[in-house]
This record gives sequence, C-alpha cells and structure tokens, in this order.
Amino acid sequence: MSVGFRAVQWNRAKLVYDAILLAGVALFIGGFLALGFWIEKPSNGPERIGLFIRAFGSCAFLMLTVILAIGPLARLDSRFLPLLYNRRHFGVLTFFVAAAHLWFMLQWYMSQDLLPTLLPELMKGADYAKFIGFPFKALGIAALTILFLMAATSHDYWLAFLTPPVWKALHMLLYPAYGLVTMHVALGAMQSNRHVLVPILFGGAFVAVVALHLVAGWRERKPDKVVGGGWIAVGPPLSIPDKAARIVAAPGGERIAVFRDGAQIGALTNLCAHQNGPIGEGRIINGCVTCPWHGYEYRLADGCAPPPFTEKLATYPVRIRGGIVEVDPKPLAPGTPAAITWTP
Amino acid sequence: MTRSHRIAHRALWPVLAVLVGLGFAMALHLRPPPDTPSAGAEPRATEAAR
Repeated sequence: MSVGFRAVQWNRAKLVYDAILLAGVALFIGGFLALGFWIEKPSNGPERIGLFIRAFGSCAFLMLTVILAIGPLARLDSRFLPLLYNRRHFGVLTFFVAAAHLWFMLQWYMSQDLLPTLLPELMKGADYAKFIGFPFKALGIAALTILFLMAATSHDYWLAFLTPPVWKALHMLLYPAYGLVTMHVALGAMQSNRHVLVPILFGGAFVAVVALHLVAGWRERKPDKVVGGGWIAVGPPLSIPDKAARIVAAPGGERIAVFRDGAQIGALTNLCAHQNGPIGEGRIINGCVTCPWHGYEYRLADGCAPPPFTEKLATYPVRIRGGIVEVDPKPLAPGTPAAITWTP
Repeated sequence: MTRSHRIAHRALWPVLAVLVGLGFAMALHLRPPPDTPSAGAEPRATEAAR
C-alpha cells in the first residue's frame, strides 16, 4: 500500500525552532542538576542517579505542559501560532526526555542490583487496589507508551497513511497521558518529597492547562451553533474581513470558512487537507488561503493547492441575496470552482 | 479539527480535570506525615522517583 507523502522539507524556521528546543532542554536539565548538587550534594551513586531521574522527569512534565498549552493559546491569541507550527518536534523530543527518565530509573535499580525486583514490584496485584501505595511507575509507563505511539506516528507518512481524522484522534491520547503523568507525580514524587513547591508547581501546571483548554473550548462554542437547513446567511460582504474568513456551521455541524479576497468571495471546508487545521483562521497570503497551522496553501476560487502541490479542499456554492452573502451547506467535490465576484 | 474531535475535546477535558483534580487532592491529603513510611508505598519505589 502506498500513500501520498512528500519528504519533510526543512526550512530556517524549523531549524531555529529545534535549536531553541534543544537549548531549552539542555538549560533546564543543566540548571536542575547544578541546583540539585548545590542544595544537597548527592553522597553516593544511587543519589546521583536519583537527581538525574528528577531532572529528566521534571523536564518531560514541563515540556508536556507547554505542548498542551500551545493549542489553546494559539486559538485564544494568534500570536502563539508560530509555536504550533513545529509542535510535533516538541512532542518527539518530549518522548526522548521521558525515555531518559525511565532509563535513569533502570540505572538506579541496576546500580544496587535491584533490577530483578522491579517486575515483581509492578506485578503486585494487591497494590493496585490501594490509593497511597499504588504502583505509580505503572502510570508513568502507560504514559510513556502513549508518548512512544505518538512519536512513532508523528511523521507525515503516518498522517497520510492513517488519514488526518484518525491521526488526530490517536494523538488526542496525549490528554489522558498528561493525566497519567500528573497522577504518576502525585502518587510518586509528591509522597516522598514534602516540599511545598512540589504540589504547587505540578498541580498548578495541570490546572493551568485544563483552564486554557476549557476557556478555548468555551469560546469556540459559538461558531458551532447550527442555524437551520438550506442556504446559510453569513452577513454583508464587508462583514467578512478582507483576505480573511468568517466561519459558519453547516447543519451537520462541520464548519465552513467563507473568505473574501477583495471582490472575490468563496467558501471552503474549514478542514485543511494536511492535518485538519482550522483553515478559516488563516489568511489569504499571495493570493492563496493559507492554513495557520503549517502554511498549506489553497486557491480561493477552487480550493486547489497551487502546482506542484495536489491537495484539494471541498468548496461550497455562495451567492449574494439582498446584500447578504449566503452559503449552501452542501459541499461540492474537492477542487470544484465555486467562488463568486462581488460588485459593490 | 472535525466536529467529532471538537466534541470529544470538550467532553474530555472536564472529565480529566475532575478525575485528576480529585486524585491529586486525595494524594496530597493522604500523604503520610514526615518521617513515617507510607502504608503501601515501596520505599525503594518512591526513592527511585525522587
């Protein structure tokens, strides 16, 4: 089986993003270790390894928190969109940092010849019935497995192979993974380390991420309100910002992005062909509707990507009646010309 | 995002917030006092994650 897939194209923005990511991780882990050694110098090997476990674990938690905050932040304020652009690299790096946390944990066991006790510890069924005493490492392993799945399928090959809706559904597993990691900390590190900052930092991070998602979700309810069947009134042509879109909901609930480019008005599905990004939140740049997520471009006239690209979006018939732009919620085949020219 | 993803998204976060929020609060409340090993936690296990 083959899928439509093009090799990843590196550009300066991606390289800068990755360089900042790597520098940030190195700075955090280096700073954590330096601070740890300064506050209480480890007196033996296992203590030293324990410091590494904490450094990589805290870094992975912070990275996961930032990754999960980027989505709602970008929806609440478009200035955060550049962070979204290369978020998959962020995710893959998070997996490697979390894997290093596991690797140091295994080192800790091996340094004391305790590795054979790890599996029985995880297999102790009675502990799973406890709350305090629950094998919190199992929660971490479950979260790491999800991160592995996501890192392994993060490439555009898998996006094309699985199709954007399935891929997106799979990658939404990150949300429960974050819950698992939070409980991994609550039942693990928080039980042994009674410093007041531990619950404040970890609990506060979780609350912040949840609040951002709830606020972004709440603000997005309005465009999903469905208004009867038949043609949907969008508003006067000038109510659609020039080189941008107004988003309306079709009776099925899917969104339609009605764009205006000067006198040209056209309607496209709000789902980018690449990753189902919100195309209606993008702008028309150099004559093409540009997805805010990864910059995929489409012509407003027919929803086709300019050559040599082959992606196509479904278009919708539009008309102007009594000075009001209306859109027919029945989609046309992807790539069908449907835009109209408005004469003021 | 498709409509079904948005619906799943809106349903998932409140559920996650309640479940993890309760779990976190309980874990904080039931923490063993200092210098007392927790009832069920393996000392080795907690030590490893510190």
